[in-house]
Amino acid sequence: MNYPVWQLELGGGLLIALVAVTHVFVSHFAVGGGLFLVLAERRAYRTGDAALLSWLRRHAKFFALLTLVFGAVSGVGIWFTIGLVHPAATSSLIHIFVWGWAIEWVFFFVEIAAAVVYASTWDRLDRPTHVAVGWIYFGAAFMSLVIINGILSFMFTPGDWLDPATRSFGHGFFNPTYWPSLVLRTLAAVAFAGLYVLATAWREPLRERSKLARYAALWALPATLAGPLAAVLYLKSAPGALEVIRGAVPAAALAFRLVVGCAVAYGLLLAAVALLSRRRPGIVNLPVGAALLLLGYGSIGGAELVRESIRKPFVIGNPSGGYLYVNGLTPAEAEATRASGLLPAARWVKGKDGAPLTEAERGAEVFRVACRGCHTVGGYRAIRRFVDHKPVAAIATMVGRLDKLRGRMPPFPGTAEEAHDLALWLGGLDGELEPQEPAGAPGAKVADGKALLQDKCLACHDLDDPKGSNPLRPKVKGWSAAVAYENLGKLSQLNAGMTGMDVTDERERKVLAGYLATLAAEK
Amino acid sequence: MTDPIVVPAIDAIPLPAPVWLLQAFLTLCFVLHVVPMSVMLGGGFWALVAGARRGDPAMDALAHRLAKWLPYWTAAAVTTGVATLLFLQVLYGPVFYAASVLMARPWLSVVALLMAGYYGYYFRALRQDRNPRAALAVGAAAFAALLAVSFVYTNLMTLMLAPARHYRMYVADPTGAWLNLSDPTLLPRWLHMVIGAVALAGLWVAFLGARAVRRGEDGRRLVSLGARGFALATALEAALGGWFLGALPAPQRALFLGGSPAATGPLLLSVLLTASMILLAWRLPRREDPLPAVVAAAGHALAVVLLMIAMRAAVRTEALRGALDLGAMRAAPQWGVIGLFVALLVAGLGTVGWMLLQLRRPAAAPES
Repeated sequence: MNYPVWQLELGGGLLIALVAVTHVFVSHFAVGGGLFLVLAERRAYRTGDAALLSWLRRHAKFFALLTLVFGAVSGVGIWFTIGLVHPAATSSLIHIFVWGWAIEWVFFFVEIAAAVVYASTWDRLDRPTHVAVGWIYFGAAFMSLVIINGILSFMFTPGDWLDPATRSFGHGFFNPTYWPSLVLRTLAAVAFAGLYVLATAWREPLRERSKLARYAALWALPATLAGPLAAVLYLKSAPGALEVIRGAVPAAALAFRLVVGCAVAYGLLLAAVALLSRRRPGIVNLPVGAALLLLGYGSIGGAELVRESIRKPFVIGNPSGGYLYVNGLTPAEAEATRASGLLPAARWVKGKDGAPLTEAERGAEVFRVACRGCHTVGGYRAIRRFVDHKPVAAIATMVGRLDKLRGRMPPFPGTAEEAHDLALWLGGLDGELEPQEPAGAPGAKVADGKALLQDKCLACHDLDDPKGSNPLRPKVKGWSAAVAYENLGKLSQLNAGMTGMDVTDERERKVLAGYLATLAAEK
Repeated sequence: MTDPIVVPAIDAIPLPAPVWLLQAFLTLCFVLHVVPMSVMLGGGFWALVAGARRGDPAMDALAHRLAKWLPYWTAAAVTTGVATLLFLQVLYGPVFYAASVLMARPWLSVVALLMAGYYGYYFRALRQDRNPRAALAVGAAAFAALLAVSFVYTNLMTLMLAPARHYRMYVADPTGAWLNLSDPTLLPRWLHMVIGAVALAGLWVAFLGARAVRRGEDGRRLVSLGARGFALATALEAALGGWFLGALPAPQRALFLGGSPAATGPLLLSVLLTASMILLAWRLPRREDPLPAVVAAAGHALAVVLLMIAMRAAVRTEALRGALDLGAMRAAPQWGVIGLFVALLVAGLGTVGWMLLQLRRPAAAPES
């Protein structure tokens, strides 16, 4: 509302995910890999393992080139991206945590300097000094994680910061998920240090590969096995998170399965490689290394998607309360715009120059401000999937109940008239405005049933279209009026995504149950 | 119908420090950024010039040396640039975010271009012995990528100073495809920065030559190339400065023509310093020991950079008058965290200093 919204059909959320997941995959390696390098270097000196030392020098070069350039610049890339997609949230975070970022920058600066020195002075510094530089690198990289973790976990659980009476840097930083999140990220960093061994081990002579595969397993497997415990602690301290991964937000549930699936897969694969490579060192090869890294990428990618999803409907906050909705409005601002209108308060919409707008044009502007933060028209999270072939009244109903639909959306931040304008524009996106269902007349049960169906069900469901969103008829197949009556009263128990959708009005429940039974009987 | 001036409202969350302190950090960080950034960009140019004269041992050695150091200068430029951007956003967020959304696509391309340039410089540094032709070609591509980064940056920095045009641009095309090409100050400002970078990096070449002379090696050609290059680029930069001044909107131009002592003073001083710097640099190759004169020219150049930053700030203040009032921003300083930052900064600088000191120690004997 306050900032212009970037119209990107790729989807801002997808863009953030692509940039962020790739960065996070490397940045966690930058932390864990630092510890790995320095401990492995000490071990090589202690055991006099020249081959290990020789590999470490090459691995350190790979490490420096990946983390110094890609890691550092992609981190800047996340910042650029969130500033473009969520400028209001970025501005809020910077106002709260600018000094936190400044402290993180100090560690970043030391980290960069130490990485450059470490990777380029194997022959120049004596061993204790070189190891000391390695420890400086790891210390700075870990502290960088310690700081950024406070800001990232704040976005999910602002905790006491939300209360103006206790609003402070400290309350925001040491928020309810700070410690479990730090443990989880540290474990991920250690696990990735192990996985990344396979990124360079395949280039070593065959006789060295088995040893390196065992090192990799020694690092990655314990950390991966400890992951579920830390994940449970994290999810338990995060309001609503468990419900989300159990299905309240389908994408999050899917992402959680991705995390578990990828972690189990890379764990098993790595264990197998470590065991089998004694007899067949050739198994430590490029395809296996690439597969392990890809699975690691999948696991951290899934975890980041879960983290993004469980914040909904907030970008700073969680289902129990927050500071900023995903559409860039604070709850107080949304409350005000529901009463007095979104468009008069929005700055970057057509019509501010006095040009008159039609209803549908106003609707397009409402979409820009209220929906564009997450949805596109026909691209990522395409809105057309949900509105094509639906009557305007059904869309208007859906708009009015956004916060009760699946997907945890914020409440619609506009007036009833703006909801209508939005529905009118959305309804015309497929090139035709579908005819309205007749309003129910007293005593006319069929018309009543149709109207109720439209009001209660068709906002989310299509009736038949198997390619549409969530067709209803297959779901009610075989329902009698009695079964329909029973189910309408406990929709939230049947499907967590339908929380708040139970039909509680006795007359509506009976009429709708009767109508659903007739639909179920139709062929 | 009128064109409304639409500017995002100031963030409801108060600033975490007084405006003056944030301004001070912004200025400090920009000074620390602009030097390595200039050497990174201009150094890429000189590395190409030297690399193109293959077969000339002095130029080969220079190209080798520059290429080896360019990734480090890039690391310094990126690191200090991050801090600058942080303080810029906290103070000028409303116009910065609005302008960046308007040119979202080119702005985001900076990330890819920077990565390409950075990796390109590394490629050149690591492969110049094994494959000099490929190293030179990749180095050229890296320089072009970083030149493109500088162009996009100048577009954003000028566009954020023109909030009166933002709304009309956004309504016409909200897909983030804009550049600020219609701004008459764009080209002179960008060229001014690029030629300034070439000049500063020329001084680095002269410095390398002067150190070689002091060591009794043959560095005279490098001194001559760097110092004369610096002088010529500086003279060209002065002319571009005149173009830039003429292209400024009248109220901003008036500041430098007696309208504001805070702008006119630095302009006059910088003109004098520039003239003195050109003379100093031009005569520099004739000196027996050119190193003190190179250091003096660098001191002059740093002073001019500081004065330019002051003039840049004056332009920004005038351009945003009525659109963004820093004085209206509330502050709730987080003194405890600020203190922690300063303490850690001192400790961090000390740690980096210790590491650099280790590099000055004689190389370790091989250990078995």
